Parts: sequence; C-alpha cells; structure tokens
Amino acid sequence: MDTRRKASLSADESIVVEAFQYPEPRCFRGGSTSTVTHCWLPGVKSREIWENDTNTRGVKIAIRDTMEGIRYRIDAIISQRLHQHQEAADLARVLLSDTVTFVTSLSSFISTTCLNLKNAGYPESEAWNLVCKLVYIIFATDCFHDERGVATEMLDSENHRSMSIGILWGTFVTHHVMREYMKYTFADHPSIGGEYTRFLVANAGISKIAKAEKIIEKLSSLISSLEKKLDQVDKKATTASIKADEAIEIAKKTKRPEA
Amino acid sequence: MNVVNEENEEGCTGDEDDKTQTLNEYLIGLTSTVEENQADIERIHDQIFESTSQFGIAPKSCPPTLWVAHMEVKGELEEVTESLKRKADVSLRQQTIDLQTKLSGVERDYAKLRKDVEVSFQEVANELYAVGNQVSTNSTISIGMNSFQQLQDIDTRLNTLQKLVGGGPHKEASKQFCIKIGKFYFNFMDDVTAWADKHLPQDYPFGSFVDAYSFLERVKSARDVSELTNAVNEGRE
Repeated sequence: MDTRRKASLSADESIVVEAFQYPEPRCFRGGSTSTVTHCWLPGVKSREIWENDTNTRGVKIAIRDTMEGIRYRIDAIISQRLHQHQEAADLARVLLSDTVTFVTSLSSFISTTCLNLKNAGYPESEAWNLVCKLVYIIFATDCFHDERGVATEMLDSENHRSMSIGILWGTFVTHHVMREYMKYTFADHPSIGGEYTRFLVANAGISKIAKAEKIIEKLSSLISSLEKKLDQVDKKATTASIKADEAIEIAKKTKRPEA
Repeated sequence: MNVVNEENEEGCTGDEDDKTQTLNEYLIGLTSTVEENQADIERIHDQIFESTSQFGIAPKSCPPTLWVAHMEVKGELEEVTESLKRKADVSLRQQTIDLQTKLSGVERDYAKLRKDVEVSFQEVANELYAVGNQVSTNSTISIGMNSFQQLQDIDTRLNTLQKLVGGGPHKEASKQFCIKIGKFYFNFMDDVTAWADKHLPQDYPFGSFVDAYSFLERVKSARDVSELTNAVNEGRE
C-alpha cells in the first residue's frame, strides 16, 4: 500500500491494514526481520522472553497488562463510529469479545504446553521450539494461508469500499479459524495434534527405546556374569558338601578314645 | 319491403302504411346496428387473436389439425424437459449427499486414526515407563518395539489419508466457509458485501472490527521484546 493511501486511513484502520500484511501478529514476529538462527517466532525466541520465572516480565505479561486498555479503546471506537448502526456495532462487539477470549486462551495454551513438556522431561529449548511451531501453525498456516492471504491482495485496491470489504472478509475468516481452535481447546485441534504427534515420534519413542535397549543390554551381561559366578559358587558348594559328607563318614569310623 | 308494397297495391289503409314504414325503418336501423356490431366483434376477435397468439395460441393462418399436433408435441417436449430437470436435480442432490457422506466417512476415519495414534503413543509411553522402572526381561522391550512399529504403520496410513483428503479434514472443511459469528452468518464474500452495504456507514469503518491479529498488533510489545531480548542476552553473557 502506498504512503498516500496510508495517510488517508485513521489510526485504527492503519493498525488493521498493518496486521493484514504479515502471517503472524506483531508480538510474535518481533521488530526485526533478520534472524541469524531459524526460529518459528522471532519475536519470542525463548521462553524467558515470553514469561520469566517470576511471571513479572515478558510478552505474555505485556499482553495481559494491556488487554483491558485495548478492549476499552476498541469499544470506544465502536461506540463512536457505529453509534447509528446498531447491527454493525453488535457484530463488532461480538468480534471483540471473541478475540479477547481467544488471546487469553492462546496465552494460557502457550505457557501450559511448555510447562507440560518440561515436566515430561524435555529440555526447555526443545519444548519452546515446539510451542513456537504450534503458534506459527495457528497463525501463519491456518489463519493466513487461504482467505486471509487472499484478502491482503485487496489492500492495494484503489476503491476504499472494495478494500474495506476484503478486510472484513479476512477478519471474519480469521474468526472462523479462531473459533475452530477454541472449539478444540487448541491442544486437540487436528493441526496441533498432528504436529504434536510428529514431535513425540521424533523425540520420545526412538531415543527412549534406544536408551532402554542399552540398559537392557548392560543388565543382561550383568545377569549372565552373575549366573556364571553362581554356577561357580554352586560347584564349590557341591564340592564342599561332598567333602563334608566324607568328613562325617571318617568321623563315624574313627572311634572316640574312652575316658 | 316487397310484402308491404304488395299490400299497398292491394289497397291497405294509410295508418298501416305508416306503421309499416316505421317498422321498416326500425328494421333497417337494427340491421345496420347488427352489421356494425359484427364488425366490432370481428375487430375485437382479431385483436384477441393477435395478442393470444403470442402466448401459444394458434395463429389465424395455421390449420387447426396442425396446431393441435404442434401443441401435443410441445406438451410432450415440456413434460420431457421437466422430467429431465427433475431427474437432474434428484441426481445432483443425491451426488451431493453421497459426497457429503463420503467426506464424513473420511473425516471419521481420520478422527479414528488420530485417536489410534494417541492411544498407541500412550501405550508406548506406559511401556517405556515400565521398561525404565522394571527392567527384568527383554519381553517388555519387544512389546515396546511392536507398539512403536504399529505406531509407524498408523502414521503411514494417516499420511496416505491426509494426501487423499488434501491435507486433512480440517483444511478441506475450512474452504467451505460457513462463518457464524453470534447471530450473523456469512458463507461468501458476497454476503459480507451485501451486509456491509446495508449496515455500515458510507466510509466503511473496518477499524472497528478486530481479530487476534489486529488486537495483538495493538500490544506495544515490539520495543519491549527487543529490550527483553537484550536483557536476556546480557544476563547470559
């Protein structure tokens, strides 16, 4: 979109247009686009950037702390711009309410998933990488891939009405995907489940079985070594027993001297 | 007229002549009125004919037998066309239902396979736990390996199914949009266009309608994130 066109938009419309140009939301894509190492969400390269251990700093905290303010601001815009259009205002408020619920659930899903993986014994870096990939799938693959992506093509339309309708369609389609994730409480959504499965296959099964195999091998050799020792002990015991019997026989034959 | 003349010649009275004359004039007037009416009737008839012929009534020049035959053929054609249309409708509807049933079947299979995968993973996890804690025989490992093999088979089947349905049921289903937001339904972009034209102000203030993207775009975290990244990196150093 050219600068002249951008200048004709209100501040809130500019934010919406800006949001339409990227596959992930700003707080996940970060400020810089250049990344030396690959990361699914450059904006939150580590769990510490998402939330620190004391839960006092991080993107999650920023979202939590600014949520009410943003909600209040958008509600005020709806009241101001749509006060004579009740049905449109109703729809806008439903979208706002659904969005707040979605963002809250998403934040919780991110933290809980990472914690669960850590508790299951996965290293934090691997756990966080999976979480980032899952969030990337939600936004970049499922939300942005089809209709939202198509709507971005309408941003350059000279006709304000066409551009607005394209953006509205993209917004509604995004809500459709958001609703699907809410329905499956994120973790049970087919896209997430598939990625989770791949992760577990790659990280859980093979490595753990390989470790267990090594332990079994070690224990098996230990057992066979013990069995050999046991055989030797058994043989010695048998010999000793035979010798004892012989000693008893000799003792019986030998008459005790009379007192 | 002739009769009256003959009676005059036979010596009728003057009164009778007058009555005859009056009657005669009346008859002439009546005849002329009838002739005028006939002309009117014919004209009206023609007008009716012209207008009705446009709606499938026989033109004047068409012989009645030919017209009847034409109408019969036309009727049959219409019946056949209607019948074909009905059959096509029924067939199309049936095909749609069949396809929907098949899609539901595929979706069910996919969900079942997913469930299988999850169950198998749980089994593997349980068995690995057992191996880790009670290593006594090689049989536990072999059970674990079997489960893992089953899991890989399921995964292969899952991938095949995903290819068949084009990336899984979710992605397919999402192309058939039936967007429900509160009491509002939108199936196509045209629905949105119609709704927006009817219910939005002339300047189409799309900034009032938010989703996760535009909501999170408002979180002023980009700078904070940079600061956090720096702080974390400095802390590590």
